[in-house]
Amino acid sequence: MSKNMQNTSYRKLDVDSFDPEQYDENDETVDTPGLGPDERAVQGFLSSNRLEDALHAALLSPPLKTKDQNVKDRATQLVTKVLQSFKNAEIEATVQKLSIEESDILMKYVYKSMEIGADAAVCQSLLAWHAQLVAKFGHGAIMRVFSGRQRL
Amino acid sequence: MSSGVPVLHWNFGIGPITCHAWNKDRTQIAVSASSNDIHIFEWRNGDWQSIHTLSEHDLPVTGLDWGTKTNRIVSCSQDKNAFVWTFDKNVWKPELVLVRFNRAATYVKWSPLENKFAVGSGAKLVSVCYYEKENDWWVSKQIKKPIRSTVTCLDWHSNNVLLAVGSCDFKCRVFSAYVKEVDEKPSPNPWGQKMPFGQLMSEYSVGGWVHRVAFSPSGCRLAFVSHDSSVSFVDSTVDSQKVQNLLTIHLPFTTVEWITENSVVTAGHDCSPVLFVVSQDVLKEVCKLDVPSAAKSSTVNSALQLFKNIDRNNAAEKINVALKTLHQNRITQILPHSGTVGNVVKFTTCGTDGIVALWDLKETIEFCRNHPSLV
Repeated sequence: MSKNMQNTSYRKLDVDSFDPEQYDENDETVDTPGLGPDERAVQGFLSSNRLEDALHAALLSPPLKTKDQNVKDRATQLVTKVLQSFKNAEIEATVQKLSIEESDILMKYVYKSMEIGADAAVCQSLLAWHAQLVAKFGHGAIMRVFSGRQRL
Repeated sequence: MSSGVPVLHWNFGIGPITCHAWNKDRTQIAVSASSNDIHIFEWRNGDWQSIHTLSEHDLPVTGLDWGTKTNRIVSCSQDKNAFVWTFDKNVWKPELVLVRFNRAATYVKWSPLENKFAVGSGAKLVSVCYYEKENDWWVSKQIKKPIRSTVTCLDWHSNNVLLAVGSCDFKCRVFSAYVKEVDEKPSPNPWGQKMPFGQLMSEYSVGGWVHRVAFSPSGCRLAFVSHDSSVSFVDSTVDSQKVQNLLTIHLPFTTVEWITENSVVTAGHDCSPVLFVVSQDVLKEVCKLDVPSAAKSSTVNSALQLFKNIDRNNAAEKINVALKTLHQNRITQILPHSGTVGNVVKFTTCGTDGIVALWDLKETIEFCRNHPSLV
């Protein structure tokens, strides 16, 4: 039986990392990064029980291009709080009023919120929102979360 | 063929079909079946007969194009090679092309005059290949910058010079592929004024890998589809730098083809063609263009009925996994079949289910309108 006596450490090298033209996903960060939704405005709408206005405000300026994960996480927590404020019966009517761009942003927040680790009640609500978003905006809304490189 | 359903379709029995190409009078079809062979079938006595198998590639064939004017086939493969096949004394003879890739070749397309062709590759470049008489071989010039990931698709402008390139760096670009050895000097057009080889005329960003790009018949418009389930549209007579990105509810499209100067058909992972029109310079979805196979119309259509069946039979129901659509897996390519450039009457689709389908556009639209609940 033959045995490989050669040094095989070259197999662990990532040769593509030496490519001077390799694609850098972070190269696209040239625009002013979104700084996240205006928390004071959202809180104001919530305390006035204007839930739809709160949702629209929370979906503005998503922090997709910033590199500060804390900003992203705070935005996700804020949106999750807004979503929790809706009763299940109100979700469908609210989703019907969203534009497809708002829906894509909201779907990113829903997935991120699930990833962060929601408790059972929060997860139940997120699944209800997810179901209504897919019912109106189809599989395309899910695909745009998967395929996009700008993440929360 | 299912009676009453206006779509002919055939299964060649060779497995998933990644690309197909028609000869001039549509009596022959070349197909690649996710293998290193290319099969050529001819319509005889009401059936497709295999008449040639082209076996020169070492790895799966990824691109295929049949030049109908010159009757030459060009093919490319994961083995980094491209071949030009010439029909001579009832035999298809391969000529190796010097594409100079160090990664898989991904796509190939003859130019409109068929005096050159473009090959895309995983090496982040496009080779534009032309015949060199002095040395009796096919040589290539390469377009590299600023492509930064795998090239997935190409399309030629009708002026035989401009080349649209889609890639996995989420960009679609229009380059000049002017080859002075074979081309006359191009005239200025809406995409630009000066066109030296490799010149980047336009660049567009989308949210996913670009799967297919197509110039309109006049060459003034561009459509491309990407993995974020969107269809993008550029009208260079309005603004060649502005892209319109239409987000859809469907699964991602893999292919797009112009039907007229104002309409495109797309298809992909939803297994069904979708028609879009340009109305007042805005791209809009019209309808799905699918017809069910008649035998598959009567499927279990509700969970309640499914559970009732299980209860009645006191046994596990055999689940019918057939889709309602004609294609049973994703569609990989659309090609025009009948009609004229700028007015396609019929087109063909091929898919991962091994089926090639021939769609009569007018009859299919009429069928879909009369049976909206089935689509």
